[in-house]
Amino acid sequence: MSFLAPLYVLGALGIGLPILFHLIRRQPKSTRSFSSLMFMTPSPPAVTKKSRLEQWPLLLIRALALIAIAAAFARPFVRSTAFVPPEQPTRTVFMLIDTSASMRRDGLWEQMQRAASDVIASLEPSDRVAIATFDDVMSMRLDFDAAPASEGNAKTAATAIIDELKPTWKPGRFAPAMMAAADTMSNLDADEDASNPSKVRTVVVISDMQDSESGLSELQSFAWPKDVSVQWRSLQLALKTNAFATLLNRDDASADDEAAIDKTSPGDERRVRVVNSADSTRSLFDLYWSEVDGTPIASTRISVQVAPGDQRVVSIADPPQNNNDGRMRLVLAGDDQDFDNVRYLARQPRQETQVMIIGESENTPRESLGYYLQLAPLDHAGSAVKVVSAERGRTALALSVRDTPMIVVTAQCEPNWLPILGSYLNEGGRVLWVLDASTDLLASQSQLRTLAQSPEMTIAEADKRDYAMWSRIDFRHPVFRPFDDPLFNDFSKIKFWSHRKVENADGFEAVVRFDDGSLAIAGKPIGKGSVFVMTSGWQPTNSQLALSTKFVPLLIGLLGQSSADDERMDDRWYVGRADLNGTEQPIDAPGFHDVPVEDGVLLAAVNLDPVESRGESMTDEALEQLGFRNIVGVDVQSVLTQRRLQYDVELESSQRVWQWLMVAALGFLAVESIYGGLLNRVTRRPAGE
Amino acid sequence: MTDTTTQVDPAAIMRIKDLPLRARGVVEGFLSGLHRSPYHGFSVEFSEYRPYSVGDDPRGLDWKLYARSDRYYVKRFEDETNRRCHLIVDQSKSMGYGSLAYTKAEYARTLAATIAYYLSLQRDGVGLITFAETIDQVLPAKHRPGHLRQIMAALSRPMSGSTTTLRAPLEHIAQIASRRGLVIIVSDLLVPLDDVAQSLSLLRARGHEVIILRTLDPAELRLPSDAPELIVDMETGKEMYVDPRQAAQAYAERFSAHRDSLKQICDSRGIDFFEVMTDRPLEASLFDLVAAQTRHRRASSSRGGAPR
Repeated sequence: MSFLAPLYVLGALGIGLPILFHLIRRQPKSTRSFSSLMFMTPSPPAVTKKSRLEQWPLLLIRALALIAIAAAFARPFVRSTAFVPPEQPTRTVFMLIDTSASMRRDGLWEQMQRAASDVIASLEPSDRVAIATFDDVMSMRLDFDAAPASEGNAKTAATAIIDELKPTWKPGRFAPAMMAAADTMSNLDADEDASNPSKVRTVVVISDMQDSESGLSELQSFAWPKDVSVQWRSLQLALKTNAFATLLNRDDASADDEAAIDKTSPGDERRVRVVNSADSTRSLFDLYWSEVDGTPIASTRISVQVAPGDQRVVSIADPPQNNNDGRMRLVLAGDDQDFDNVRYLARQPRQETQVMIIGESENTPRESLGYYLQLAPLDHAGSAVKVVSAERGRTALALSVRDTPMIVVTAQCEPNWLPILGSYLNEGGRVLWVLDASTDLLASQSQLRTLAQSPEMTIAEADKRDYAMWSRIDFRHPVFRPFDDPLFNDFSKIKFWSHRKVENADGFEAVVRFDDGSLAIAGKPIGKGSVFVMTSGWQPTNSQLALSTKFVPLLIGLLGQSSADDERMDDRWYVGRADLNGTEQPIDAPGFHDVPVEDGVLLAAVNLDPVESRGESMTDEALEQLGFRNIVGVDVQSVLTQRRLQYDVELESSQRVWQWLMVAALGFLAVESIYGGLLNRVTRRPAGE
Repeated sequence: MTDTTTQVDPAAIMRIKDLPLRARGVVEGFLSGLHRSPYHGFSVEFSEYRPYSVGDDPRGLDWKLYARSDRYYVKRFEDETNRRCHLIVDQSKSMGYGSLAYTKAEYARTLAATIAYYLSLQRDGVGLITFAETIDQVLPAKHRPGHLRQIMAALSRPMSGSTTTLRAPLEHIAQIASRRGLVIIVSDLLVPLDDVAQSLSLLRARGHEVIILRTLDPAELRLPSDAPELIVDMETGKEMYVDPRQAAQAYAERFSAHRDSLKQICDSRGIDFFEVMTDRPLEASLFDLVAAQTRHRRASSSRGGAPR
C-alpha cells in the first residue's frame, strides 16, 4: 500500500486531539477576582477521575472515521505485482555548435571543445545525439540516424566530429539555426511516438552567444516546441577588448564630413569607422596599411582613441601606389582579438567608357545635342565617361558594350551604322535615338523601323503649339526611378518648344508622354539591350531640358547606371554572402578573390562581417525573454521520478481506494451518530426519572 | 472588654450613605458606651510636669504644685499635648475585595472617618494620606474648623490606584511630620513585608506612635471557593488556576505565616497591630485604638510622668 499524498496521513494524528482534550480538564469558565495571589499556589489542571475515558466505543468509532478520512485524502493505492517501473528515459540531444568567425577569438574554440566533450561524456549509451554547426546557415555534422545507439559508438563518432571542427569566417546567425534545430527535433518526433513520455529532448547550444541584433525578433515570433528544452553553454572571453575598422563608402550618406575629402583626387584619403566594443578595457588603437606580408607601412600609421562602446570616424591616407595591384590591407592593432583586425580593400582600375554620338549635325555648338552631352558630368567613382562623336563617313567595326555603354543617335544616321547598331543592341547596348528639330524624319522613320523591328511605326512633326510639357511619366521605369520622390518629380518647369509624334510604335513602352498624349520617351528591349526614342531635342532651341537640373540624372538613368551603384571600391562584400557582384560564388575566407565576370576577372576584397566583431554576449535574461529556459544538465533522475509519479497517479485513479475509504468513514460516522443517540437516551432516562 | 450589645452592626452603619454621618454615628455610640467602660477617666488633656531647670520660663512654674511639694515643676502647655494624628488609608485595588455587602475599602474608609471624627472631637490635629502604588491625596494634620470636612470629602472619593506600595506614604510622613505624632495605617497589608518593616522602623525611629489596623475580609482568611477556579489578582490582573483542594492548606499556612511575621515586625518595633475584620463592629476598632493609646500613655507616664 502506498500513498499518493502521504502528508495527508498526518491528518490522522487529529484523532489524538479529542483524546487529549478529553483527558485535560476543561478550563473553568468562571473566574474569580481576589485581592491577592500572594498566598496561592498554582495547581495545574490534572487528570482526574472524572476526566478519564469513559466512552471507549464512541471514541473508537470517531477515531476510525477520522483515520478513514485521512487515509482517503492521502489517496492510497496498491502496487500490484504487474507493476512495471517506467523505463529509463532516453535522451535525444541535439548539439548546436557555433562555428562562426567570432569563435576564433582567444580561447573560445578550446572552451567549445571542452563543453562539447562534457556533453558527450554525460551521454548514456541509450541516448541519441546529433551534432550540427551553424554560422550563417546550420549544417548537420552528425545525424541521429547516422549514430546508432550502441555502446560508445555514438560517443566516439561525436568526439571525432568535434575534433574535426574548425571555426569558419562566416557570420553566425543564431535565430535561423535555432529554428532549424527545432524543425529537426520536431521532424524527429513525427517519425516516432511523440507522446512517449520517456523521451527527453534537449538542444544544447554551445556558442559565444554574440549579441547579433538581427534575427532575435524572428525567434520571438517562433513557437518553440514545448517538449524540447534548451540548454546553453555560453563561452566566456578572458580578454574582452576588441575593436574593428570598417571603410566607409565614399558616397556614404551618413558621412558627416564630406568636405574633408578632396573630390578631385579620390583615393588620397579614406575614411574609416573604428568601433570599440562595449566591454573593452582599452581605448587606444593603431591604424595602418600593411604590405602583403603583413609588415606595416610606417608612414600611414595613425593612433585612434575610441572609448569602449563608442565609435569614431577617422581619415587615413591611402598607401603609396606600388605594385600591389590594387590590393590594400588596413590593419587595426592594439586590441586583444586579432581575427578581425585586417580589412581588405581592392582598388579597381579606373574604367574608361564612352558615349558615342552618331549623326551630329553641323549646327552651332549651342544648338547641337552633343555639346550639352559633353558638358554633362557623367563620370563616377568607378569609371570616367567620355563623350565622343563618330566621325562622319566612318563606322566602327564593332562596339564593345563594356567600353561604350550608350550610343546617342541624333539628326542623321548614316545607313551603314545600322547593322553595327543592331549587333550592338543584341549584345546589350543602349541606343538613344533623339528626334530633334533638325532630324530628317522620313529617313529616321525607315531606319528606326528596321532597327527597332516595328514596321508600322510612323514619325511626324507634331502640331505647332506654343509649347508642350511632359505629363505622364512612368516613375517605376528604371530611368525615372531616381525622380520618384515628391522632392524631385516636378517636371512642369521644363517646356518643349517642338516635338515629334511617333505612332504605331509596336513594342515600345511609353516612359514619358507629352501632355497631348504623344510619346516623349519610349523604350523597347531588343536583344540584350534596349533602344530609347526621344521625340524632342534637349538643346535650348528645342526645349529647356538640357538647362534643367533633371538633365544629368536623366542621362545617367538612360546610361543604365544609378549613381548609388558604386560598389567597385569598398569592402562591402562579406564572407558568407553568396551574391558577389551577381555571381553565386561562395567565399569562405576573407581576403582577395578573383571573381570571374563577363569580360575578365574582377578583384573582389572580401571581409569579415562586422557583426562578428561585436563582442557583447547575449545575457541569459535576453535568452530567457525569448522563451528559453536554461536547464543546466539534463536531469534524468528527476524525469524518472516524474514518470513514476505519473504512473502512480494512473494506478491510483484506476484503483480508487479513496472512495471506499470515504464510504467507510461515512459508515463510521453513521454508526457513531446512532450509538451516540442511544447513549444519550440511556443516560437521560435515569436523570429524567 | 466591651459590652457587645451596645455595638452597632457594621452592615447597618454601612448602609448610611453619608460618611460624616456614619462616623458620627459610630463615635457617638462609642462615647455613650464609653462611660460604662472600665477605662473611664483618661483624658487627652493630661498635663505634664517637668522639673524646673535654669533657663526655663518662670511663667510655666506650677505654683500650686510647688506649694504642695516644695519642688519647682514646669507645667506643659495644653497646646503641646494636642496630638497630631496621620491616617494612612490604603486605596489599592485589593481593598476593593469584599465578600460581604461592602468592600474592605468601604470599611476602611468608614473606619478612618470614624477615627478622624473621634480625634477631632478631642481637638487633635488629623491628617490624611491616601495611597495606592503612589501617594494619592495628602491632607496635613490640623485641627481647624472645616478640616474634618475636607478629610471626609477626601475619603469619599472613589479609589483609583492599583497596587499597594506602603513605603512611599510612610516615608512621606517621616519627612513631613517633624513633630512626633500618631500614625494610623488602615490597610490590608497584602504585600511583601521587607519594605514595610523598613518603613515602619523609620517611622518609629522618628518617635511616631504607629497603629496598624489591618482590614481583612473574612473570606480572605481562607480560599474563597471550594470549586477549582481561575483566580484573578485584583491588583496585577495576573491569573492563576487554583484548585482549592490542593491549594487551601498551603494558602492557610502561607497566610498565617505572613500574619505572624507581620505581627512579629510590629511587636519588635513597638507598633500596635490590630486585625480588623470587615464584619467587626467599628466601635470595637475605635475601642482598640483608644485602649492602645491609654496603654501608651500609661507606659509613658510611668516612665516620665509627674508625681501625683
